[in-house]
Amino acid sequence: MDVFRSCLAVPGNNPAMLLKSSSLGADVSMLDLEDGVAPTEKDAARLLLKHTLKTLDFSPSKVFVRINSLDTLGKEDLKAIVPCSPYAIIIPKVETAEQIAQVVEIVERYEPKDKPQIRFMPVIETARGLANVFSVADSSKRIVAISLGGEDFLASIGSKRSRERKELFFARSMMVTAAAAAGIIAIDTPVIDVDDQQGLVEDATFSAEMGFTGKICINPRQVGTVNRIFSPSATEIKWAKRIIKAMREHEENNSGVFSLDGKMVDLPIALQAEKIMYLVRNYGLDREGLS
Amino acid sequence: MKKPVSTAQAGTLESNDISIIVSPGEPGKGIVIELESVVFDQFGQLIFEEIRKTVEDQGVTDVYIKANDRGALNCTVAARTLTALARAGVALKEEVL
Repeated sequence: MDVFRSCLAVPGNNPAMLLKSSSLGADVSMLDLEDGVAPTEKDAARLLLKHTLKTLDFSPSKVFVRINSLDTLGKEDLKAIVPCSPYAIIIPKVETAEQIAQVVEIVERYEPKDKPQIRFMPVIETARGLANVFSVADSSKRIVAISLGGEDFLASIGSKRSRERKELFFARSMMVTAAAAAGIIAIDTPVIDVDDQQGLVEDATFSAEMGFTGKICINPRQVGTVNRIFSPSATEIKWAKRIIKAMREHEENNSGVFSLDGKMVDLPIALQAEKIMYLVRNYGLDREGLS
Repeated sequence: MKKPVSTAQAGTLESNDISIIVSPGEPGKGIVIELESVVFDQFGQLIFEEIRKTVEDQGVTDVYIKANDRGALNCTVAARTLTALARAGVALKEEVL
C-alpha cells in the first residue's frame, strides 16, 4: 500500500515554486494544472510542466499532477503529462467509476511501457461523488488514494465552512471508510487559512484520529506540522516494536494470544503495531532517530 | 516554413522565469532574437541557443523574439518560447504538445 502524509500544492505555471517544491519536505509535490492556474495560463502551465518533468528530479518527493476535469482541458493535460511518467495523476471532481475508466483509457494510450504504471488519486468534491465514493475508490488498481475537496463539497451541499469543520464530519467518515474498504488511503482536505497554525494542528490531529493518513497542504509552512501529526509518535513506535518482538517470541512458542503489561495482544493489536512499523519504514523515521 | 501571424507573449518577469514576446519578422531575415538577462554574461549564449533551437525545431522562420530572462532553466525557456509561438498562431508539432 502506498502511504504519504503531506501533499504540497504547487501552481503548475510558477517555475520558481516548481524548482523549490521538492526541497520543502513534502512527501508529495502536487503539481497543479487545475485551480492553481489562471484560466488564461492553462496552455502555458501545461507546456511548462511537461518540459519541467522531463528535466527536473523531484525526489525525494513523489510527483502527482492534478489535471483539469475531463470535460474541460483534462484530455489535453493527460496527452501532455502522461508521457512524462509522473508517479500519479490527481483526477478532480470525480463523481462516478465511469470517469475513472475514461482516464484509464487515455492514460493507456500515452503511457510509456518501460516505466512504472501511473497511479491515480481521485478527488471527491460533490455530493454525487461522495454518494459513489466506494465504487470510485474500488474502480481501478491504479487508484492508490482518494482525497476530499472540502470547499467544493460544501458548496455542492449548500453548507458553510466553520473553523471546527463539523459540517465535514460525515463526508470525512465516508472517505476513510470507503478508502479502507478498497484497501487504499484517504488524504484530507486542506486548511485554507495558512496563518492559523493552531487551527491546522487541531484539524490535522482530528483527521489523523479519523483515519486519514495525510493532508493536502496549500502552503510550505503547513508541511512540517502535517508530517509530524500524521507520523507515529516516538511512544507509538516504541510500543509497536515491543508488541512485534513479543509476538515473534510467542509465535516461536506457538502460544497464540498473549498478554503484555497485563493487556491482551490479539490479531487487531498486532496489525496495528505492524501498520505503525510500516509507516516508520516508509517515512524514514528510523533514520531520523525517532524510534 | 511556418511564420507567426501576430504578436504574442508568454512567461513572466518573476524569478526563475523568462518573458518571451514573439512577433512576425521581416521576410527573409530569419530568426532575430533580442535578449536581456540577469545572467547574460554567464548564460546569455545558452539562452540564445535554446530559443533558436526551439524555434527551428518547430520549422518557424522570419520571426522577431524579444526575451527578458530572470534566471530561467532551459526547460522553462523552451516551454515559454513554445507557448508564445502557439499564441502567435504557429501550429506546434504534435510531439511537443
